[in-house]
Amino acid sequence: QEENKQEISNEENNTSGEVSVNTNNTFSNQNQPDFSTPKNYLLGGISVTGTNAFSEASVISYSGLKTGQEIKIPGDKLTSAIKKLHKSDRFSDVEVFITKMEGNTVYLEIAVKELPQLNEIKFVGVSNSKEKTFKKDTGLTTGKMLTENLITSTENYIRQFYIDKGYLKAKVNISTVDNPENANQKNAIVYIDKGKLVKIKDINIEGNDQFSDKDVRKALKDTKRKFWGRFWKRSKYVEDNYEEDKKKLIEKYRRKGFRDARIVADSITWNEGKKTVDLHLNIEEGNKYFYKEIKFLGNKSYKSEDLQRILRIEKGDVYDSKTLEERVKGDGTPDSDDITTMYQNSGYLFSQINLVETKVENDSITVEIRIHEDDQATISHVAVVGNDKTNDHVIYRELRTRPGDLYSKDNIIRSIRELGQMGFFDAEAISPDLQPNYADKTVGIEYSLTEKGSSQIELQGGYGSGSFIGTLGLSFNNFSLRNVFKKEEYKPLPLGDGQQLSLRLQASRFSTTNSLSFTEPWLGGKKPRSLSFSIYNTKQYGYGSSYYEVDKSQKLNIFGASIGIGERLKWPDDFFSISNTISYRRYTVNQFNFGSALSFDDGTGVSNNLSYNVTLQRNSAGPSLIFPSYGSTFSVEGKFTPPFSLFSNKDYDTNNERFKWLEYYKINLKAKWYTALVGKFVLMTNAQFGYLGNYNGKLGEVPFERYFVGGDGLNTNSFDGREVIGLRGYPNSSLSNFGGQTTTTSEFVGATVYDKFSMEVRYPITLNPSASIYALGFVEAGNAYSNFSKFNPFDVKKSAGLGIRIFMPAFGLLGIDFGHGFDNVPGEVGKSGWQTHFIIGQQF
Amino acid sequence: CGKYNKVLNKGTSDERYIMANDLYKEESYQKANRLFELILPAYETKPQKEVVVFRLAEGYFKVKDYTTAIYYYEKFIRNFPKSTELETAQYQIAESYFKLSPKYSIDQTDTKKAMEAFQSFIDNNPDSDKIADANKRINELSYKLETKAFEIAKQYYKIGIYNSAMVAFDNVILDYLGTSYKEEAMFYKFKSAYELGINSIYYKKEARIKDAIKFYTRYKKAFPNSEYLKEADDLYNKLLEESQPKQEQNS
Repeated sequence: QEENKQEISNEENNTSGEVSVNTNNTFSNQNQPDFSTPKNYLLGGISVTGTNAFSEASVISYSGLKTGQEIKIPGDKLTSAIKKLHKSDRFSDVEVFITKMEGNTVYLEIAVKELPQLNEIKFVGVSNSKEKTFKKDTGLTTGKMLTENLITSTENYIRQFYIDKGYLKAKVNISTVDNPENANQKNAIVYIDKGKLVKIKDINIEGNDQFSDKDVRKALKDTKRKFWGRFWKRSKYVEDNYEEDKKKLIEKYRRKGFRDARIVADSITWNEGKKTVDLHLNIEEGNKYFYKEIKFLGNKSYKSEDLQRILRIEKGDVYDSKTLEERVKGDGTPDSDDITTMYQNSGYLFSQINLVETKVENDSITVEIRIHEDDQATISHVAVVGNDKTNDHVIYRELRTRPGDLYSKDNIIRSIRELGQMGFFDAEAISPDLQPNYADKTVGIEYSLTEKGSSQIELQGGYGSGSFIGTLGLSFNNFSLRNVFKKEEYKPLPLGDGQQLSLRLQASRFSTTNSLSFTEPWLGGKKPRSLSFSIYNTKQYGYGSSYYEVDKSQKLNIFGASIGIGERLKWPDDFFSISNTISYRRYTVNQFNFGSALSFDDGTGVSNNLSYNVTLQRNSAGPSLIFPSYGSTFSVEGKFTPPFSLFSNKDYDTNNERFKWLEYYKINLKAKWYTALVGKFVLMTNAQFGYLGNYNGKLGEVPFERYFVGGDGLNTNSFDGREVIGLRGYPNSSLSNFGGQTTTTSEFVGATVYDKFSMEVRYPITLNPSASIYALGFVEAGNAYSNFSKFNPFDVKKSAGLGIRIFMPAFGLLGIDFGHGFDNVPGEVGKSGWQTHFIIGQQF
Repeated sequence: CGKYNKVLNKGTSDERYIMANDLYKEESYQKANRLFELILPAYETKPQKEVVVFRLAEGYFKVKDYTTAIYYYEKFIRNFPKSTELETAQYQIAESYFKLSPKYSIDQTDTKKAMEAFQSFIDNNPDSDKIADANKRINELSYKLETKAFEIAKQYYKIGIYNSAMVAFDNVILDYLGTSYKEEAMFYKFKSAYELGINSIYYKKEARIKDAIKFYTRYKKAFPNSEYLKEADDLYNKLLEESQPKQEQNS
């Protein structure tokens, strides 16, 4: 049959080379050997040979050819038919022949060779889980067509996987055997021998005069010698790390003025037994250079002196090309202080700044900083994409880049940060896309966002205090109240207006607590003025004769509600904010043991707490919430009840009358400073003061709203509006125990005046977004005073200690502190001594 | 139902194929989709694949799973570019994106895709009898984008960032030529310019008021019968009052 087919070349294919895989792309014809010029034929029929797993019809349908159609030979329909069949990855070989020609009708034959199909795959030498990941990553799965390419790429992928992990001698081999049950299938066996981890025995360094061998080795951060007791870093050899490390080493030289430093030769040798390697580095250090002169050229809008102030490099300084580059072009961090950033922050999007060494004489270098300012760019469009839930108006009102403004890189960075802080979007995934238009000096900015779930549903049951406790909590951080009655907005809930709604129901045999709160961050949509509202109700029963028994005749009911308005201020600066809150609480006590705080004459009574709270604060701490390294926070808080007793003629001789309408005023001052010290050390300085006073001496101070000083500072569940102030080195609330006899904190009376001062040095171990860890050392002093006449800012209890904090987004803040109290706790003799404090979920 | 489960679990491909088509005709699309999806691998190389893929696409469209419908329509177009249903599939892709297109105030990626799909339908099928429908859809979708741009501009006005509002209203007019928001956009641009001028710091006031008057003139010329003209006239008069004494001082 073969000899009947005459082979002619398909010119189009050969010249274009499009069907490069097919070397046998030929077809033949006996009657009309001249195919040099294309001609149209009618396709009379197609036959298929060589099929096994596939039907003829399917090969024809793959080819896209149809009997009865017109076909040009040679022509692109034929080419594309062959291409399509090849692309299907099912055939190792495709040929097309002309079998017959009748006048203008042509009959074709498609001869294919099918690829074997992968049947069973076995891995030898690795665990099941590794096997799964390899299969997933390489696509070596049952049913795949077995191409040569698949085998080689799989082998290479797995080998590289092990080499990257330090297994330099990993061997991977894939062998295929016919499947005895199906001639067209093959089984594959993947042999993996990862071999021994290759460690570095020694690093030999030559040519280093300026740095000792030890310093050089230190610069090779991820390439370390094998050494007994090396826990933190392993001494395995990973090529990519080594290449990175060499760059760092050269950088280290550059920073010291060795501009020409380079590695002239480096090599790896295997040690005996091929278990370890030695690395050899030959360094040429070159001369140490200094600046002769630094010139600014082309700067029009900034004076050279201003630029010099940012550069902070003088002539005569050691030539440190790395620092020079960082001060001119930026060090890659968002708060980089450099010349390029300065131009970029004031509209000069199109500016170009280049560094040129113009003269090198002996050991001195003249540098020119050539600036092309260009025109300032204005923002033309601002767009946001990816907000599948959150409405535009919630996002646009927070953006600091607006149409018509001058372009500013700083404003983009601040917008990204503030979008991230809203909590509706994945903070890591916010990316701005700049669309500069050089012709009209404008730029469009498109922020692309990814929504993340900002709603939480908590449903839990547990056993505590001798009874079952069930909790249902719902919290929506991006709620849309105006859409609650619109059916089509339930997807599954009306979201997207940036409002917060939370609802919490908790019940056990002894108590039920219900609370609801709602916050609208931009009331009316005109100004960042927030409105929040909350309502709260709790019922508590006493214990009966046994611990497990409920006594419903002992009852405490607390109802509370509050409404507040908060506002960001523009004056004195935009870090200020103010909030006003009116809150009301009503305590109904019926034979309930409330500790000594609230004791009615016959055990039954009502107490009302109506107060107005105003807080002014300034927060400029940054960059992160978890580990601020600059800025400060200040707050002044005043809380007042109306002076009821001034308007009434009551005697107030019973507690029932005294507590009916609580009256007090309260002033709290808090200040925190964050200062960067050497290296990554940060100093946090804190001072705070609180005072609870009364309007009417006859009434005395209320037993509510008091200060409890000492310990970890964690707010415990209590009903009396207390403020818990931590002071490490002393047991919880112990400094407010003025009686000195009781041991349970609920019996403590609490203070009406306190002060506290602390200094804490923090060091970040890692500031990874998935887990930030820092260590701290502190000295603290503070005290609680039972009334103002006893207040003495120098009569304080002192302590010092060490601790660690771990922040993980899933768990919040966790920490442990060891504090040593140098002074005594009231009612005890001798110093407080060492105390251990566990910190959970505390705000920073 | 029992028969369905039997065929679903144990039926041969052909039985499933027949039942799937029956279910499809009975408009039980959910069940039909399951069967069609099940037999798709087996029919990968058969001519009936054309029917299977098309009915999967239609079935998913009917049960409002538009994303999956688009997937199958696209697969259909790729595999059967010569099919008689090609035009339908092309239109349905656009229609599916149209159905996916959300309210104006959130991400409009699907809206833009729908517009592109309708446009490419029009380009590919210039003689189709659905051209009028497609054009109507494009107008609807464009109106949504115009509303979005206009509302964003209006928010700048609302929160008092008037210079940005002016640029944003301009963008509405320039980016969407022939928009039905033109009248409102021009009016609000003038209003923004008015606010900027009236509340301006002294040394920029004159220029800003001049600008505002210029925008008023343009707006009035473009829309002499505008429903907001009365409000605009009032503001215009205030601007004249504001600029009058200054001119006297200057002269």
